Amino acid sequence: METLFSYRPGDLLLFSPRVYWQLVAGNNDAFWPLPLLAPLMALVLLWALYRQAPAFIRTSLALTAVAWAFVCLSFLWLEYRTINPWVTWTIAPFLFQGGALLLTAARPPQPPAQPHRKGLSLMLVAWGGLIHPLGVLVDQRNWAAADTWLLYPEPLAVATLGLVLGLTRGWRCALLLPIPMVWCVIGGATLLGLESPFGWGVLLAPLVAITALLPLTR
Amino acid sequence: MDHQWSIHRRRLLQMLAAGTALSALPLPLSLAQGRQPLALERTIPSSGEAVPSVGLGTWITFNVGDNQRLLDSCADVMAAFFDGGGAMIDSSPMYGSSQNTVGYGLDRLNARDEVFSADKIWTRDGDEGRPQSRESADLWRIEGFDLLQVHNLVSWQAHMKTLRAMKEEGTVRYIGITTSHGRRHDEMERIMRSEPIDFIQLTYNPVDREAEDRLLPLAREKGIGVIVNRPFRRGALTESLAGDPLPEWAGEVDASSWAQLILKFILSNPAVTCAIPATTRVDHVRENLAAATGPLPDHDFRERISDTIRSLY
Ligand SMILES: NC(=O)c1ccc[n+]([C@@H]2O[C@H](COP(=O)([O-])OP(=O)(O)OC[C@H]3O[C@@H](n4cnc5c(N)ncnc54)[C@H](OP(=O)(O)O)[C@@H]3O)[C@@H](O)[C@H]2O)c1
Repeated sequence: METLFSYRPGDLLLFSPRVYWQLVAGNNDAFWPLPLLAPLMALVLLWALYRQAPAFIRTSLALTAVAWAFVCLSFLWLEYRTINPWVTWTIAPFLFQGGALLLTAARPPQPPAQPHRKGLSLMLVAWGGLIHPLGVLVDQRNWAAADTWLLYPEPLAVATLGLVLGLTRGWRCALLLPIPMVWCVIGGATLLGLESPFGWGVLLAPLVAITALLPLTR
Repeated sequence: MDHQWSIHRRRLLQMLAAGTALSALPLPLSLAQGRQPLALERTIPSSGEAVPSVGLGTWITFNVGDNQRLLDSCADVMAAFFDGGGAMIDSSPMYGSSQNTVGYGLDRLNARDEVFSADKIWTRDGDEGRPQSRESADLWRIEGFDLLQVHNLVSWQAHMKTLRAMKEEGTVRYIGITTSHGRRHDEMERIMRSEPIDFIQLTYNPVDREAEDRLLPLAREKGIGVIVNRPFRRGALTESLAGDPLPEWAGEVDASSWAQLILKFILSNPAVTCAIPATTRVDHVRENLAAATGPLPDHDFRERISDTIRSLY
């Protein structure tokens, strides 16, 4: 049984970091200059969360809805699935999440008022939208393989958690949180398997989200 | 089936040769084709056919999707492999796009006659074995496989029936079962005792030696070929030894790297038919094939290799 302990996180993946980041670099190239626009769009999300003006709320929810559909079809279906057949099972939940966000954008609820919740949502959106792509600085890859929230599922899931927590409540919030939370676990573990320490940020995002839901302040 | 025999002309001649004095000659056809013969060929116990003792795995390394540059670099690895006299390539439906990558390489190199194709059945559904093997052959762009194995013993009872029938029909030449990481050795032993299999595949290297207890001796006793997976613990062994200087005594068995010393350890077990290291690098594939030449360690030397590597790992 000694051999069983020779498992490493990367053994659970079907592909190597080299291949995954080349896929990302190729996808970035195909959709240039979207990778450059993504951090700017993240600022729109942060502004919407901060000001909570109805027009910004609607725009940011709609933008995020489109991002879920776009990431699903452009990256997951066309690219990632070629090296990871299991991805096929994620297509329906991603499209569902996009649809649910779009419906919420059509009639957004009154945002929740707890200050700690607002603070943590801003943190999650800033993490997914601005900080996560800086993973290129610590991994063995270059800027061409930066994973930004408009193109890749992990930063998108983290940013979505922040947006949903900061802008929705009640059943809408309950409907919109589970899929990004589950993806944070899957995607975070995958990034760790790819030896990217930023996987920890993705993996811990659901815990931050749960903390934001706790009734810590009135 | 006829196609099987036309595709594997080289193998067929080797099988015929195995029954005659010609069998003493190393790889007559590769000589005829002007390629480098491997000194260390092994005989498949159930047929007497010769097969080079270092093969090529494809788990992770060949799962490169549609990336043209990476597909070509895998084909380059395959070209170096065949040029160096290698033959056995191992893949599985579980390995993402690896089967397609092998197919791309075989196509580009026009190397269908040179490969000893080893693939697997990997599905819980007992009725899916045959269709899955056809899909796999399509991805490899070949008519059928030399060897089909039940991957990780998944639904092995049902698949074994299918494989036996396929072997009788001639749609596959050899059948077997696989495991890795030291898992399910008891079950493997039971199958080896009860089923007419040609090959087992398992993990074996200087630090993972459970197979020596029962499975390797049993394979010899029953005339079952042994394919060794994870020779380098998926690279963990070679990576961790990379910082340590190779002992001088490695030269006594003509090993010039840790990878070669590990492969020499594996190949020196008489039960082993073929080790199948995976690689993305042309220099590594050459280095691995070179381990199949020159002298092999004896018992004391093997223990020395194992002790040294265990102490450094
Ligand atoms: N249950 C099963 O049926 C089962 C389970 C596991 C494996 N397998 C089969 O066995 C094959 C081999 O096992 P594996 O791929 O898990 O691991 P492995 O062959 O032990 O290790 C592969 C790693 O070793 C490195 N490597 C190869 N040659 C080297 C050299 N000369 N010097 C230094 N590093 C070297 C490669 O890196 P580079 O790319 O840098 O060379 C690669 O990352 C698999 O590909 C698969 O076909 C079957």
